[in-house]
Amino acid sequence: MLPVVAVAVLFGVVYTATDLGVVYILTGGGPANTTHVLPTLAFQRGILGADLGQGAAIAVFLLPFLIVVAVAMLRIARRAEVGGAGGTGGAR
Amino acid sequence: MKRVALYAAALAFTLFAGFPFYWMLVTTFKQNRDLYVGASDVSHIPWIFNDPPTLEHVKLLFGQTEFPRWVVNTLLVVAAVVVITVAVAVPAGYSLARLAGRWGERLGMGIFFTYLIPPTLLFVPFARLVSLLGLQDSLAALILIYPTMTIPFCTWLVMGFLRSVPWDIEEQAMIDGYSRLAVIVKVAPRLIVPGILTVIVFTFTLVLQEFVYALTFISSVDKMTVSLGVPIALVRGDVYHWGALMAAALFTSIPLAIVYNVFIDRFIQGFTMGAVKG
Repeated sequence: MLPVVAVAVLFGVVYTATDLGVVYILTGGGPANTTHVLPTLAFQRGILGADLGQGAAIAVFLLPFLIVVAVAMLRIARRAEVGGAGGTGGAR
Repeated sequence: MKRVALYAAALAFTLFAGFPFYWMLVTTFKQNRDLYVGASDVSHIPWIFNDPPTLEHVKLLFGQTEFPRWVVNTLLVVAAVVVITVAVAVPAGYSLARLAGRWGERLGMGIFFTYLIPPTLLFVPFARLVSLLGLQDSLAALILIYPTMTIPFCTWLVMGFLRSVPWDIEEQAMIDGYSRLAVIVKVAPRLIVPGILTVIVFTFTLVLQEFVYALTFISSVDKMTVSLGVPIALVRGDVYHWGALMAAALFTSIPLAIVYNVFIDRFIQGFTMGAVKG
C-alpha cells in the first residue's frame, strides 16, 4: 500500500503546489496581493506585467521545493517496494 | 445484511458523486432572487426551486457571451491535439515497449517525468516561445503547446498498456512470415485499440480542463476555449454569475459524461492496464 500512497502524495503535492487556475479564478491574488501563491505571482509579474524574466525566476523557485518532495516520496516508495518483496510490479 | 450495507454504501457514494451535477442543474435554472438569499434567511431551503425555474442564465450564456464560439474553438483544438498525440504517442509507446529493451523502460520513465513538470513552471518560457513564433493569441499556439503535456503521459499510458498485451500474438505473426513492419502495420493496431481509446479520452480531458496555457496565450474573446472563456467572461471582479457559470459547466459536462459512458468499459480496461502495470 505504501508505494501507492507515496506516489499519490507526490502527485497531490505537485498538483496543489503548482495550481494556478483555482487561485487565479477565486481571488486573482487579491485583495492587495494578499492571497498570491508562487504560480499566480509568476503569472502576474511575468505575463500581465510583461517581465518574463522575473516571472520565470518566481516560477523556478517552486522547483527546489518540489524536488525535495519528489525525492523523498520516490525513496519511500522504492524502499517499501524493495523491502516488501514479492508483488509483480518489479523494481521501478 | 452485508448486501444491504453494500448497496447503502454504493448509494451514498452515488449521491455524493451526483450532487455537484444536481447542484449545477438547480443553479442553472434558478431565478437570481432564489439564488442569493441563503445567508440572510435561514428558513430558505437552498437545494430546491423556491421560485419557478427560469431560462435567464441560459440566455445570458448563449446570448451575451461567445459560448458557442468557445465550444467550437475547444473542439478544434481538441481534434488537432488528439490527432497529434495519437500519431506521436502510440508509435512511441509501442516502440519503447516492444523494441527498445531495457533502455525502453528507463526512457519511458524519463518521458513520464517530463509530464510531472507542471505547466506552471513552463508557461513563462512557453510564452516567450509562442511570441517568437508569432503565434500569440491564436489557436495554433494551443495546438502546438498542448501536446507537450499530452504526449508524455499518453506515451507512458500506451507503454503500460502494451506490457499487458502478450507479445506472443505478434511473435506468432512473425513466425508465420510477417516482417516486423508488417506486424506493426497489420497486427499491432488491432491489439492497441483500447489503448488508443484511452489516449483519446485522456487527451480530451487534459485539453478540455487546461486553463493556464490558454490564459497565457489567448487574449481576444473570440479565440478562447471553454475552460478559459467561461470564467473570464462570467466572473467580473467580485461578481460571479453563478447561474450562467453553472449552465456552462452543465452543457460542457453532460456531453462528456455521455461520451465517457459509451467508452467506459474499454476506458477502464485501458486505464487500469496502464496504471497497474506501470
